[in-house]
Amino acid sequence: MSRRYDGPRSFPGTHGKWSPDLDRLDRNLREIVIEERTSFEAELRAELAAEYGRLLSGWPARSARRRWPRLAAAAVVLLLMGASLVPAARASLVRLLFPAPESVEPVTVAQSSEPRTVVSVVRPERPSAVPEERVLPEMEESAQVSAPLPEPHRPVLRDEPLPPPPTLPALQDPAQARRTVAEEYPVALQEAGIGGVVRVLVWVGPDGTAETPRVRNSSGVSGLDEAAMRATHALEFVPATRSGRTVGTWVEFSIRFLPNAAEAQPAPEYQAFEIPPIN
Amino acid sequence: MTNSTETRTRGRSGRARRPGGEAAAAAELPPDFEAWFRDHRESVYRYVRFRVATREVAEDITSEVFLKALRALDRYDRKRSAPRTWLLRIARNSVTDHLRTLKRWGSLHISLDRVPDLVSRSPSQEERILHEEELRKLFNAAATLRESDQEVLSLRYGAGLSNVEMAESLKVSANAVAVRIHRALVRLKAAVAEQERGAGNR
Repeated sequence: MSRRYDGPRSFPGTHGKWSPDLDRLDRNLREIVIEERTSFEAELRAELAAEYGRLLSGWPARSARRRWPRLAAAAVVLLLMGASLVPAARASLVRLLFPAPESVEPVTVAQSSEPRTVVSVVRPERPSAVPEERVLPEMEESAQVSAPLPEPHRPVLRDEPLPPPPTLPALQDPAQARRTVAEEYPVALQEAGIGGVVRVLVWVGPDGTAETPRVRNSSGVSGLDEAAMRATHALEFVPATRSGRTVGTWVEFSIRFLPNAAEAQPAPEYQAFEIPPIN
Repeated sequence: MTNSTETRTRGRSGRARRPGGEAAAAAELPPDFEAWFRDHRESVYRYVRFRVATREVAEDITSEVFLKALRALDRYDRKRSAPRTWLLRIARNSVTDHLRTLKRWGSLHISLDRVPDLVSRSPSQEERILHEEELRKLFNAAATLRESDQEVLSLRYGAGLSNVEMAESLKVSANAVAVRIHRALVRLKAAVAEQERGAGNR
């Protein structure tokens, strides 16, 4: 069942001025009949009457009720903007938003005699682009270890206690890491006396897992590069920390595949990533 | 048609005022609004139906238009526009909002292959089927037109406005309206021909 709308009764017009094609099109459009559900009018009328009853009783309409959250949000934004204009309020706000402020100075730690496993830390934020596009500081393998780059400027509150110093990622178990790399060294390459060094870049997540390993410098042997990727993926790290919280960071290191165990030199601990001989 | 009822609820400013709560029963509509609903619902529904893909959406938007009008009744100024023009302006905004939402959700391209509530009034069954096929092509082609073209065609063939009323609604001169209709029809004709060519190639 439906109610028919036979279209407007009159079309003032331009008839006679148009081409026959347009006249025909015009006629077709005018002859369109729209069938409406018969109950639609009654349903809509009832809905309108109910809404009118609500309006008369002072109960806010649905649209007005929906406006409240937006108004509340706007009020909060205005309050924050106003607070940012008053220095004391701004300081409180900063303290509230950044409870553990950090020093804005980058920290450089000289390599101590204590064994370290991390060679260099490239940058603290996970990049969205491919790593080749990033500017990565080239570092001496046994030289210095840089802390993650500082985040964008945050105000330092002088009267607050200093946060704990940042720590760098480290291998969870260096011996296990050596074994992992050794297991990945293709036997055929070992037997053929083929070795090499692969420079690897990897993201160490806040949970210590190695993600998206990439070859920074190839060994020139695809089998070794692939083995390095597999091994890196399996490594487990103690994540870096900043202000007492674990953070993700990029780590760069070398994996050295030496086919002849006799040639292997015991690697110093700070070069633990450079895996010595395979047994 | 609505003058006698309108004068009962207007203040000196010419703005409609909402009748007092004690005077109106919950099940009744304000007299002005009752008349508008009776006289212009068809125009609004036809206009909306010309602009959207399905009967259900057209019903939703028509409901929304009248609900908005009811809530904003005390803001209606008769000096600025006729009731139908006002209602159609609300309808236009609602349709625009609807289309924008569809676009945002990536579902603007609704198939118009089935338009069961848009039929021909040709007398014989055969002619009707042929005509309805033409109608289907017409609507598919109209959906490819730019929004301003769809707007003038919907106002003319959906809401049935005269050129003068369209001019008031679109805030342009009547001559400009005539030109826009002509251009929209030319583009519609081209779109229909394009669709037929496409169907022929398949």
